[in-house]
Amino acid sequence: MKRYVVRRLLMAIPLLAAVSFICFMFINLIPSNPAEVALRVQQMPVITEEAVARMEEMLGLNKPFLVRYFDWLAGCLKGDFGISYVNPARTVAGELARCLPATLQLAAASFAIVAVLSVPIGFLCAVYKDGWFDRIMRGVIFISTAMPAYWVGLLLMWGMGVKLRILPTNGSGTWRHLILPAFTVSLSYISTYIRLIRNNMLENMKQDYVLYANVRGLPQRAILVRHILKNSMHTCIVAMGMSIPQLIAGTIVVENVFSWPGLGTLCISSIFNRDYPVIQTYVLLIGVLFVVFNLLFDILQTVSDPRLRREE
Amino acid sequence: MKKRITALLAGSALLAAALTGCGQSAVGEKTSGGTRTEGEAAGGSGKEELIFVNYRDIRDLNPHLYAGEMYAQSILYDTLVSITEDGYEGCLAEDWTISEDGKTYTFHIRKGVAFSDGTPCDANAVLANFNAILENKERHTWLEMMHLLEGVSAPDEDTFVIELSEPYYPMLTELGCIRPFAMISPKCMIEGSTKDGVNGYVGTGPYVLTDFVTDEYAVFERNENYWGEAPAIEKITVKVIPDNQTRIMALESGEIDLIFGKNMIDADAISQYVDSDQFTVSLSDPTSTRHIVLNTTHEILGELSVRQALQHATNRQAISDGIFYGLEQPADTLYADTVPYCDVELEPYAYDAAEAERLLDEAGWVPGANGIREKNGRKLELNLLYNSDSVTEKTISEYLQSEYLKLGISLNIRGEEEQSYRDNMKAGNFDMVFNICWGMPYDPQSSLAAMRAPVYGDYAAQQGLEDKDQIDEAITGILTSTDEAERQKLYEFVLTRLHEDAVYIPLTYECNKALYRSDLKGVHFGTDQYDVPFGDMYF
Amino acid sequence: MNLGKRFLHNRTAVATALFVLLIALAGVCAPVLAPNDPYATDILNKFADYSLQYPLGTDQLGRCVLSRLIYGIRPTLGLAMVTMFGTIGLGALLGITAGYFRGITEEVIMRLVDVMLSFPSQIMVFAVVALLGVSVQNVIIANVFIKWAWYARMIRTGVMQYRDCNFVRFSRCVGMPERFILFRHLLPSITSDLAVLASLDVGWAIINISTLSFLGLGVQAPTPEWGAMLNEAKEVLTSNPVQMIAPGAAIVTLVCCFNLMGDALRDVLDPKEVEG
Repeated sequence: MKRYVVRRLLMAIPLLAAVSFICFMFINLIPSNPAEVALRVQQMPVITEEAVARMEEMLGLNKPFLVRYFDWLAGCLKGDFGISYVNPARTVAGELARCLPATLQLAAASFAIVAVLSVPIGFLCAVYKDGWFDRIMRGVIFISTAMPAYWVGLLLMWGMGVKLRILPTNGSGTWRHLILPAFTVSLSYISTYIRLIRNNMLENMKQDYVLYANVRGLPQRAILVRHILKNSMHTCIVAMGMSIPQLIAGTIVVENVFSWPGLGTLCISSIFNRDYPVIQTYVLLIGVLFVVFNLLFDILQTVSDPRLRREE
Repeated sequence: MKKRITALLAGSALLAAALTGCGQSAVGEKTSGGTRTEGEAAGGSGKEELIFVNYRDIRDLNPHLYAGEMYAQSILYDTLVSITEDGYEGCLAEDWTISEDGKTYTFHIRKGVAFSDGTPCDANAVLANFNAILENKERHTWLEMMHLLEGVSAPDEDTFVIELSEPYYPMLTELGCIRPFAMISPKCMIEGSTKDGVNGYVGTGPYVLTDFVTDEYAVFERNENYWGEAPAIEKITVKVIPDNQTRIMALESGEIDLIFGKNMIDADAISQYVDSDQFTVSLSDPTSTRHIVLNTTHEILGELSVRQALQHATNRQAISDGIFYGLEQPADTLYADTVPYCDVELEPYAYDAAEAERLLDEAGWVPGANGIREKNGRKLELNLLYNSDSVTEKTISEYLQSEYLKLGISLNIRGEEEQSYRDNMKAGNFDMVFNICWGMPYDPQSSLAAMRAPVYGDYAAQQGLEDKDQIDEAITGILTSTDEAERQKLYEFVLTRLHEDAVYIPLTYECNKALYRSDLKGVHFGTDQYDVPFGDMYF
Repeated sequence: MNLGKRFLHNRTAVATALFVLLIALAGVCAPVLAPNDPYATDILNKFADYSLQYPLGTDQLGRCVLSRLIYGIRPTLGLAMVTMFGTIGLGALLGITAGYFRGITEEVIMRLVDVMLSFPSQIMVFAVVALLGVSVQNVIIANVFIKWAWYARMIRTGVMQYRDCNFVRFSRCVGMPERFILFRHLLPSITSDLAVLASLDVGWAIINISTLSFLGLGVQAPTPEWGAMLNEAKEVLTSNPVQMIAPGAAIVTLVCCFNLMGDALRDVLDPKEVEG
């Protein structure tokens, strides 16, 4: 057990290295020359080749690839991600720090909605399989999984914002601003998890241990909650845990629809503006978050599921 | 936050009372829904907070550089003179004299004016500003004045003198522009310099910047020590909403009071509100020309006949009627003939698809496979860059795309946000790009002067012209000529050459558009198209 | 045990499959079905109401919405299918290999999967598009490149679950060759998962590609992709909200259909569902 956890922790290190390496590659693959960008940033009116060469030397761009990678990595560890190409007055770290709280707020609200709604609904759907509740929920799920988040966002904006005028349609500030975007983000996840829980429970119901429990004469409710639900939750918890960074990343589209001042809005506008350092750091940040959460929930899964323990 | 909401509620209560009194019950009922009795206690004054909207952040408001929003710079800072419809007026300089030979300008600085941090704005402060600007001379060479400046001095604290090497007729106009000749408190300069940034945005203007959150909002409050007439609006909050539709929804739901600008609202939205009681629409006179710049260094666009064919292929009337519902009139030339010196006899390129086809055929561009024209194995394929922050450029692009395709010209369109669109334009990274004239008071002298250096796309776009040197020389001649008739002749020369070279496809005459709550009064348009005259607004 | 027969007996499966075929056919026959040229602009007749000439009205350039919708099937459905086949092929291959062989093979593949999964798909798609430039091809490359790992992991977990099931153990005990076990026991066992995932994945791909187009990073104007149409509809949300109904409803219908098909296929293909 301990050995597995340690091994898994150790394995995360090369993974993080790979993630950072890919991000570094990213900025090195872009077509524009960072030296040229730096000169433009300094509002140099005419950019000559000598000036570019001088700047390359100053920025250390003529050093070998690996040396530059480690320099960059060292900078990242110190929290120095460089400056924005488009707004040279702003640092990338500052930009991310500015946008992160809004995104976390949105992601947290969405996660709460997902967790509160999907587990009980999924459970009820499985228990009363093919009953009226299950049928209705299945209908709702079918339609909601098929709805692109941005379209839901547009419909809600139009309905709640323009027609009924009950909720603000853009920006952040109060909890009222949070409702529409958080609901839009959570919608697709709710459907996924209801489905997941329901299907998992149905799978589990067919397992031998349920039969055995029935034979033993355990009360139906105990079997459902203590065995089937508990077993189904394993997969679900792993999926949910790993989906936290996904949720953070998943706000990207919805943020853009609702002009939510978070990372997603920043990322898309950086893509349009070719502000590569921002995109790079954003990808790095989400990548690292992913690795950490994967690690955490992989260990959790192994700890909680004896079948996956490998202690031979 | 709470305070603001209370203020808003108080304001709307009064408003509701006032409006129901006037019999406009539809509006009254809507707003009175959210009122509290506190409103009565607030007394008889109208709402004093205005919530404005802009598509991007205020950014760097250093008045000596070009990276800030101009509406904000113009309410924070003042210039020596201001430009009004009736000519020049004293601003920080109460009056001025110009020497006989036109080379020496003596300004008498207004007494008793102070920056909002308390520093007096005397001739020494003005001198400090000029020194800071001149230190970064390279950056301002789009102003011809920079080449002619001999020296600036402050003989005493009420007098400021500028000496030029040659007389220069747009001198006062350039001094009246908010950038770069606006005055910032010397205390904000970093060791007397502003070119690498400033440590505060303190000016002498009617408002002071009190709070801002990057990309969310900025708050300007009335400068209680303002030397001029105090504006009625006490507090202006500017929200950042990049998306056109979201802005309109925010206006609908009462989150903002005013949308103002040339490309902030599309014609469909405007036409929707023309008959509304709740909201008012205002349109300014034409301010500048919306046009497309053709890059003459491009392999295909280097051919005059292709450029001319594109001119004939563009249906300006349809763009005006179809996309703008006639709100913007079709433009025939780069500058409207109402612009000074620009009433020049030029034959417009009429919309004539047959003529365009003929020109292309003659130039050897013949229809190839799948209908796209080809010449020597090269397809007639062009890229059009537009500013995605502008609400109508995309629609125009799509329209042109389909129109040009009918003639066998394949047009790829690409939108970029304002900043990178400008960077690409400046660097000449385009085949075709949307652009605008600068409008009053910059047209035509400053925008023409800027064609001689890489200030905007024009410089890069004109590099492929054979007569580029002649044009540049004539422009320099215009700026320094003292003879009115000669100047007119030179203008005629330049405008005719540019027109015949077909570098610019004029589309429509842009106008400033404002959409606002009907209880907001005094909304009008300034002489500078980028200026928002908050000073005259009131509820 | 006849799959074909079981399929034909499942009404939902048949109906949804037929519907998808019908849509695909409509896309293929677009020139015959569409009442107008989807690219023909009529700027003076924009935002026209429903009429005989324009059954669903016109858009902001006066183009026929119905015609654009029909022509839009081509990029919308076509690109999604290409993405799906690429993703499933790659993902299933590596997932089964890893789950069954374990050892060093598994280690290598799963670490690769870990790296891939360390980047949220959506973000990586954006990054790849930002890097390679905006084009349809890059969108597909990015989608396949990112999504296969997700499949590989799901399938590997599935294979691992069945690997120790009694029927597999029995098979091994009686000396069946490994290849037989892999293809006759494990593959059918995970097919239900795969089929459900795959049908959901087409839906996912449709939504994902349309999302990119909606944000302006995917299919570019004037191609009538549904997401791109919604992008244009968004610009007139307040003045002409009707514009966003048709393309949105079309996406929902199509994706719904694939999802429904996924569930139906699950019932058809799940060997445990059929007792005897």
